[in-house]
Amino acid sequence: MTNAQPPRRYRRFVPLALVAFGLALLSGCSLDQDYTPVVTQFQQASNALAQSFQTLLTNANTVEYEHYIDSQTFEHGRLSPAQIDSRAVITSDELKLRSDAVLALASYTTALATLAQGKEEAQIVADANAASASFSTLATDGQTAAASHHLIPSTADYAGPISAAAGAAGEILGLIERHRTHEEIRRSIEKNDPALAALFNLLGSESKAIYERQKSTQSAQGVMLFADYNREIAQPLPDKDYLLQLSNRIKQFRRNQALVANSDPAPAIASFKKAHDALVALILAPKTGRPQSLAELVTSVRSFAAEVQPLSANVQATATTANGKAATR
Amino acid sequence: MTRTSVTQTSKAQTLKTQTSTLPAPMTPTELVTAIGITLTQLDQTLMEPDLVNQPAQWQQIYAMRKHLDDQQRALVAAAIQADDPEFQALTGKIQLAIKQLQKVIDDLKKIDSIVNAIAEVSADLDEILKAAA
Repeated sequence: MTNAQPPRRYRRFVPLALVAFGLALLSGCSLDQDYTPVVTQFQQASNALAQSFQTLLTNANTVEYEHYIDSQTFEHGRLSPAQIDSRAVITSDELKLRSDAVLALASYTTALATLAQGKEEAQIVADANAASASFSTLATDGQTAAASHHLIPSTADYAGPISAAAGAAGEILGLIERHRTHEEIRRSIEKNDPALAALFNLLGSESKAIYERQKSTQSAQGVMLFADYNREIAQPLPDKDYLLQLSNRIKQFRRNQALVANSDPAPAIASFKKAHDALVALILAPKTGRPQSLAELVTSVRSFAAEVQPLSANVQATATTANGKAATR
Repeated sequence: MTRTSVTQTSKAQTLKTQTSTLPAPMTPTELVTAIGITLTQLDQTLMEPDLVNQPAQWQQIYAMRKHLDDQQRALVAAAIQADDPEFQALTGKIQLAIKQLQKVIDDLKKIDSIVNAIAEVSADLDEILKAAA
């Protein structure tokens, strides 16, 4: 009697090899197509965006507190801790919800990128697991933020997109984790991925509003500084030390103004979505359309990285420098 | 027909007439951005030494700037129905008032026109915020 089965020690490698082969088919990549640089660039850019977004949100309350303190000081108004605290625009739960939404989208897109890249199976499953965990955290944050006191009304609007995105990503990632066929995964991406668009859009429009407040409060500081300076020089005997102090603050204000002008996160979030869309298009493209899709992905990722790099530096610098305090006596 | 429904019909008609001649409505985020641009332009005017040296006028515009700033902050935190026809009509009116303001904002001889245009923007914003409260 002949035994047609391969030796036992090789048998467990057969399913793994089949999965790897299936994923390679799904990615459509041949050995001479190395996605690594573009995927690495995408991962770096999305991490930098997540960090910048978190810094912008963390800074949102500080900006309002300091704006209030400056205005009250300038107008010789009373100050109390409770009044300052009442200027908050975002709670810690709301902040966590938004940061985690960016992280979940980044880790989901990273999982898709690893898949498209045709990396080794263990890496694909590990990235899918990480993305699933991110969406699970996000779903919990969504419930916590909706149930607790919130300052931004659109926090309630997150429930729908988060639930749709978590469900959609969960279905796709679940198929990857369970090593389903490439055709099943591809069909699931085609069906479910559009559900993530609402989350991208919500983040983009909210970040724009928060950024606009940062710009307005920063601009108000200029009004106070210039008013103080121009009033002082109109005095019969201007105080030279005070003028010097004001002129230094005006210089700092103008430097910060340039930083804030370039800290709008909305274009970077739009580029993030565009890179994600290009990645999905690459995965879904028929073999004949792949070179063009890959070229589009490379362009989108480059443009995303080009948006994020200065944003990251500017947001960080804006958060760490004083926003050009109004000097009053 | 009851009095309430007559009032509602006439309000809806007025709104329809207004909307047809107004610029395209804005989203809440676009409105926050438009107010931000207006604040920045006002600030450029408020930083001018010539205006600083006219304390009464400076104070008047500064007070209005402060109110507009508070309104922008309240807008970020307001629950606005973006598809509400009243909100859409008001954003159209605000755009017209902002256009008017931009025509005079650099001219310190037209302080009254600047004040009137800001007052109009603020009044329309108050309506929006009242509806969202």
